Amino acid sequence: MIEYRNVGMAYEDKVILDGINLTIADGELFVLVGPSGSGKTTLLRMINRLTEPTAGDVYIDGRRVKDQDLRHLRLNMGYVPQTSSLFPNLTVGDNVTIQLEEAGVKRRERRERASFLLDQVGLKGDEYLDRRPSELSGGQQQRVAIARALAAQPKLILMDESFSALDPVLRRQQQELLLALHQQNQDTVVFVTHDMQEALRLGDRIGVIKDGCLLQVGSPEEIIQHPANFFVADFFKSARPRLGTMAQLLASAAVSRIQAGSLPAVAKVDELVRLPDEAGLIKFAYQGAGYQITATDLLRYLGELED
Amino acid sequence: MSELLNTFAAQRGEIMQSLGEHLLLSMEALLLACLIAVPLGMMLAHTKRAGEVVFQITSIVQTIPSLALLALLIPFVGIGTAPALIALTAYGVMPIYQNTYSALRNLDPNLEEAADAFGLSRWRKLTRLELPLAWPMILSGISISLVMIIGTATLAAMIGAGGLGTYIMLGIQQNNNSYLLIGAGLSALLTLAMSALLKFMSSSKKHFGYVAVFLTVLALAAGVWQGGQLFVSKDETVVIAGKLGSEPDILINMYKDLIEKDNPEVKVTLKNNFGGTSFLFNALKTRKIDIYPEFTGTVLQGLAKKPAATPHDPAKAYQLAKKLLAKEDQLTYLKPMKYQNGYGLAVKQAFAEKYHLRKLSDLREHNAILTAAFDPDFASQQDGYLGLKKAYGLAFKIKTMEPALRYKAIASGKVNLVDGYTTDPEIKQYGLTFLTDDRKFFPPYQGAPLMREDFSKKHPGVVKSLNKLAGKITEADMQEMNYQVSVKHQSASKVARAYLLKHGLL
Repeated sequence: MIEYRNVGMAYEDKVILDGINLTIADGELFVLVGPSGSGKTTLLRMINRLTEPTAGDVYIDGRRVKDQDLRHLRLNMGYVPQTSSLFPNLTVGDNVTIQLEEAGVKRRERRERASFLLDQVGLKGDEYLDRRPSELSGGQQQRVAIARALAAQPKLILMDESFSALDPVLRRQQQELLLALHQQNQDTVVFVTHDMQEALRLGDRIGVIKDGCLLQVGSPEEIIQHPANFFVADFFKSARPRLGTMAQLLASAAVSRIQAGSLPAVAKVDELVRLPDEAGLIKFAYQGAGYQITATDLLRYLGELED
Repeated sequence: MSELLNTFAAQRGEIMQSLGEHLLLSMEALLLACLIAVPLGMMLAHTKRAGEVVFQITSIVQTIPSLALLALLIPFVGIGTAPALIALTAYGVMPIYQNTYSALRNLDPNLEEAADAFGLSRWRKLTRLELPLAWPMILSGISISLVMIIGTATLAAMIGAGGLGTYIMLGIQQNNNSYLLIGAGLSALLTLAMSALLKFMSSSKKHFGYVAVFLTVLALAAGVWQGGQLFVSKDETVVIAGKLGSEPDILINMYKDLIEKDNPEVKVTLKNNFGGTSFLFNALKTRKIDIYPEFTGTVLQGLAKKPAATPHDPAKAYQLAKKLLAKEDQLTYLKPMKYQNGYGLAVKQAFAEKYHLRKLSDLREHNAILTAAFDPDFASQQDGYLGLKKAYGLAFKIKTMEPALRYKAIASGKVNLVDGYTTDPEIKQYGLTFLTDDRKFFPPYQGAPLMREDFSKKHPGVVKSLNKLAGKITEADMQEMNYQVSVKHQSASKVARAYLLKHGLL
């Protein structure tokens, strides 16, 4: 568990962060989102003490990070910076296990671990182990950087705009990879981004930050449905589904359960509206369950949503 | 070209020794420079101020001319290898430090921060990230330093540290292009060879390993050899030095043979072509060397502090020089050899016979047909031509030219009279003859061993051996020996030994 207690940061008379109180639970994928210069990266860097707060303290599992041995603290954390920051002079394998090397793990064991981790991030271990970072594409380098962050099996991984430098297709792939790994490892991830789409896609919970103040903390639904203020609402405006969420639709009385069978599966309302109707009925599957709604009811529902 | 090859063949041993000295001195300096500069650069790369300050200091050291740096060090560490090594190291530090420092400072800050964020120790960060990335630039600093050190090491000869510079100095002194080419050429070749070696080393880790092992073995061997020398020299070592040129070289070889024959417990170390007059004189007084041959005329005209009129009688001149040296500098001046090595005027033998010229006063009647080639110094000094003109009433045409050229001028018939030193090998080479100084105008120049008083008292055996040369060796003998060494490229030790054997001194 990570706790920020009254954390502040100021240079001379310039306030970077002010009175931050925040708790991030174990096993959570927590996204800090905000425009550039909002202080979100500074907040992240306080966890591994790349930056020290000028007021308040950060606690991990009830202990102040300030009181912990710096090397021990950092060795037990994964870190994925914006650019992959792979050491160009080391092989991919040595890059992945640099923290294990520091921790004194034997070479053979390190190679096995590196190979396993590379497989996990979708690069063939045997093939990539002895390559140089310069031989990899940007997306591959970022995968290696993720493997590197996982090497020491940390309970906590810090990610600072890790996918921002990638093109949209690659970014999407990396996001999926991250979600899958997070699902599998049940580790705590603190992810910083300026991209609210990315925040919504990744975050179990999201913290919205602007001008050094934490404006709102909540799940993606909470933030979209009940933005705390105009800025948050405006920031996520384009992210709010035009046709409402599936949860809302299913909550309406017009939808009835049927046998799932081989119905077309949908994830969003806008996928649903593209389905062909069978004699005025639209049938679909959502999260394994079958539903149907008449075209007229769907039209009426959408019309009401517009108001 | 054939002259160059002859010189090379005849003096192969000495040349190789100089090359060895040069290489050893340069490599020691480079190694020291690396050992100082690389860790210093690493230490200071992450400071704000100190690194810049040292950066500036090393740049300033670089701007001091190397010769001045060598000269500045003499009062503190004396002459020989020590100041040369210090100066070369100081010189070599700069490019290595600057490259190490800049390379480490300009590493990608993202990488540095990533290394910190992973919790890497200072050491691991240095060895796994910083040094490998900075290495190519550090290596280029080392190779710049290498080129500079090998080049500058030629100046080490000026302060008695030996090396290839000895040949450059000799070449300039004697206007001998073979020597110049040997000195400069070998130093250039050495630079190229060592640069190639460095490049080979840096091309792969394996090569680096091979060369490192090879160099370590070599360094150890050299160390053992030098250590051995040190051990041997615990007996009793007498250091004898000579000025530049063949004649001092021949003389000190004679000293060595005579001393070692009579005193088996004494080991003589020779330092030939050690430097100029004042350099040797100071080296003697500061106990860097024990003995060197010096001329009576030089003592009276240059070394004695109290100015005194130089007697024209050689015996009186010697007595005065001996007295002044003992009084002013507590030095012992042994008895001189027979020959005079002073100024003289020479003509071709055929020319002398044709006009019946034997002595300088004979010249007067032939002023009209004479054209002389003089060394510029001789032509402009009171104790040279200016005084001579008055003493003998001379008035003929003169041309001034470089010492080596005037002999070529008389050989080709462009002039018919030249000045020269009475033991110059060219006298024999070009069939010239000196005219007798019948009015004893020129100061006498007789050579004799010079040493400290305490040394002469402690080594009566050495003094006794050296005195065997007193009154020996005529001008013709010396001319012949100089001819054998500097024209025929015989080794000085061989020529010296042959003379001693022939005259029953050994």
